[in-house]
Amino acid sequence: MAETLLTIENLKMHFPVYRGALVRREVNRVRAVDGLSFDIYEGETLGLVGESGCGKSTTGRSIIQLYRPTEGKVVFDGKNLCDLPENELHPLRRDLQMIFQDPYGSLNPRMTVGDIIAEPLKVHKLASGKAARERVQELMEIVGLDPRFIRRYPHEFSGGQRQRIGIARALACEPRFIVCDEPISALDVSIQAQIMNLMEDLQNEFNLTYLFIAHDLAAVRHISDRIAVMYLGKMAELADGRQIYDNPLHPYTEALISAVPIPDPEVEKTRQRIVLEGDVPSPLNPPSGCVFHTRCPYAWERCAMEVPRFEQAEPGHYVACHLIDEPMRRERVKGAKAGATSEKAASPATPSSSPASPPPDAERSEEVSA
Amino acid sequence: MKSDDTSRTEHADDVLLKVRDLKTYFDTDDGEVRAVDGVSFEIKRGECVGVVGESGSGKSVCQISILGLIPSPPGRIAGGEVTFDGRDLLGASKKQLRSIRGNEISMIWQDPMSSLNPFLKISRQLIEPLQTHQGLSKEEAREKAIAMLEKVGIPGPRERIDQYPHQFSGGMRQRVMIAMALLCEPKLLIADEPTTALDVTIQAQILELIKDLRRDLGTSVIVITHDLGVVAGMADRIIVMYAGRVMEVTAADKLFESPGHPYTVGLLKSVPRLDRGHEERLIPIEGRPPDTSKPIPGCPFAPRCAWAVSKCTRERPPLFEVAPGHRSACWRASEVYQARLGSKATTARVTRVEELAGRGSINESMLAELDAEGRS
Ligand SMILES: Nc1ncnc2c1ncn2[C@@H]1O[C@H](COP(=O)(O)OP(=O)(O)OP(=O)(O)O)[C@@H](O)[C@H]1O
Ligand SMILES: Nc1ncnc2c1ncn2[C@@H]1O[C@H](COP(=O)(O)OP(=O)(O)OP(=O)(O)O)[C@@H](O)[C@H]1O
Ligand code: SF4
Ligand code: SF4
Ligand SMILES: [Mg+2]
Ligand SMILES: [Mg+2]
Repeated sequence: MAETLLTIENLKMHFPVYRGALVRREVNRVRAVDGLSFDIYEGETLGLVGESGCGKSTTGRSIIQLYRPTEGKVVFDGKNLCDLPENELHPLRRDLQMIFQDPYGSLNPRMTVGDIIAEPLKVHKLASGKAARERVQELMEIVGLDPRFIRRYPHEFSGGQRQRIGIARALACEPRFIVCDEPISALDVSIQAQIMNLMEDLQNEFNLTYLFIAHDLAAVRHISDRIAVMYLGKMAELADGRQIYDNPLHPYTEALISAVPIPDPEVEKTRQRIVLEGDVPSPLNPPSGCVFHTRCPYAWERCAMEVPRFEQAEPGHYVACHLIDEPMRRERVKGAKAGATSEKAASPATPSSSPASPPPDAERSEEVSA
Repeated sequence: MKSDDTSRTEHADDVLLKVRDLKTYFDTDDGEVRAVDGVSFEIKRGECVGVVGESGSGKSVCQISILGLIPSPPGRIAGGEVTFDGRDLLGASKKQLRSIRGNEISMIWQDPMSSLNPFLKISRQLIEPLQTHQGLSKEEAREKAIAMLEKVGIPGPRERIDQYPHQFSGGMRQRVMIAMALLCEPKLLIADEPTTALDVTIQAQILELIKDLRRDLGTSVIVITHDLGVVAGMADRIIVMYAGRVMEVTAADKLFESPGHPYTVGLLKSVPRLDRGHEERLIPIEGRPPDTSKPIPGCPFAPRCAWAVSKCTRERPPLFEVAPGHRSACWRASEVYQARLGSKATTARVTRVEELAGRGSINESMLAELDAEGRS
């Protein structure tokens, strides 16, 4: 078993919502990340998936302390990062880096590529002058950029090349852990594979640990050893990639997997699609009990009342769902659905509203700020 | 479900839309961008055709040209023919086009807000076109609109029809736009990346909805996407575009079974599949798409192609028919097709075939040898 690199315990990141022009008062909080506990192993890629707004980026940023979490622990090298003051955290930041989704927005357009990649070296006083330049050239070589372009500006590069610049910058001070926040989402399909292969090679070469965030489940499955599925600020399920795909235990994971189209008509023809009804509720007032109960095809009374605990259901397979205690319910609902499908196919499908679908977004008009 | 879709296309052999050698150019500071550079295809009645290709390949410009919506300047239709239901669209007057767009051809865009007016209640946006185009009374139009909202899965349509677009979530807005697009019972629905901006569980809802509506109403559908998975599940035929040209066109099953173009092979092998783990390495397409503001005398894929021969950079390959109804714009189309490099081919096999292809032509016995080698 691999060594644990990071231990995350009951991590919470809430953003206050203010209202009022004259007297600003906190009226609510966005529970962007609401009590996550999991380990990240040395040398692994942990994939993190979930729908837009479920808190993936916030999780990544809270772990490496770009946000200082509201509550909880992040233990790295025997220290709880959340407790450390900035001056004690600074030397550890070297080890914890991030690659961003937007290769355009995350690079300063007025800095040359050389200066962008050298920046972390300066911040951590690792190299300067000629040594820094040599290191930058070496890094450019590693990520597949021509070192002769060292004086060029970001706009002179394509999207894929810009992402390589971001990767070189993240690698500059030989980190141990990198949060990769949607590193391929903004790239053309034919370029995504180039970047994923590069990331795999770099991981092997430098023994890196990745938290790979994406909403593209197929990409996550491809690159990850284990996969964590989030829903509305909570962890729904965490397991080995194969277990997640072959044997999803959480109803949300099950629906998510069935919703991802597979580029093979033969496979598509025989797949059972679970079409979830309704929209993702707002993290401003998450549903009671299990946050998924408003859309879950298996939900029963208990689900609206009691928050399911995130527990180990099988070795290495964690899930937060009451079905673990009453597995027969899943089979019963599935049996009933199978009987109803023939009927559904005959009549035009009219997705009904879920009983607890959120009211027409009263909260959407509220002002949200950190 | 799929089986009755296929039978429908077999019966409906008449052509609804015919595009011949369409060329759309834009004048830019960098020169003349040949966004669409000689594209031909047909859409049959009741058929669903997927158009795939990466960003900038001309998917949207091609459809916008058909609708007569190219901004001019900088754009212009530099040549070609477009026939819709027996009528010439490129020569049609603005008035004729407007009536066809509102009535017979509908569009759904990636961003629903580009079609919805944020300042008007959706009731007005749905009802007015019905009154003008179909001559319904206000009450009739309202009832029809409510019924359509219900059909696309908006809960409580009677109340929600009097709300403004911002009061709907992204997925709901996309449904409203689909309702709007379908109210006039169009013969052709063009959906340009209808689900790209949506989460995957919402994407599944919308795709199921389009499939159901197509089955119920018999509408022809063009789905534009960069996601091969989306078209695998719903298209009868697929058109692969690259650099403003059609690279390959064939029945969906055939495309995935034995593609006839190296670019299609590249797309299939560079996209991770959810049903495969990470045991297989992806084969990236090296390099990047060409700059369409420079003239490309030969095959636009040549700089990135493992199969390229010297002719490829000099002469533009026409569409060769490798099997009935299966066409590929590649000088080596029949070799590529024979090699069976579809979804089932392993990374190792594709790599080996591409190595061989780089050295010379490939024949059946070489492939047989390769497969025997692979088995032992
Ligand atoms: N700085 C902030 N201030 C206030 N709210 C925030 C802030 N950052 C994120 N949020 C809110 O927290 C929730 C989670 O956001 P987050 O960006 O982590 O989601 P995500 O899963 O990364 O989504 P996406 O896939 O769209 O990137 C959202 O509701 C978001 O609006
Ligand atoms: N108004 C315009 N002026 C100049 N060039 C344009 C204009 N509209 C489109 N183009 C160019 O035409 C080419 C094709 O664009 P198009 O929008 O059709 O691509 P696409 O395949 O739809 O890509 P995407 O997947 O990004 O939507 C691109 O090179 C684009 O830059
Ligand atoms: S706890 Fe209940 S509502 Fe939540 S996922 Fe499990 S069955 Fe569904
Ligand atoms: S024509 Fe030549 S360069 Fe183009 S795809 Fe075929 S083999 Fe490759
Ligand atoms: Mg994010
Ligand atoms: Mg487009």
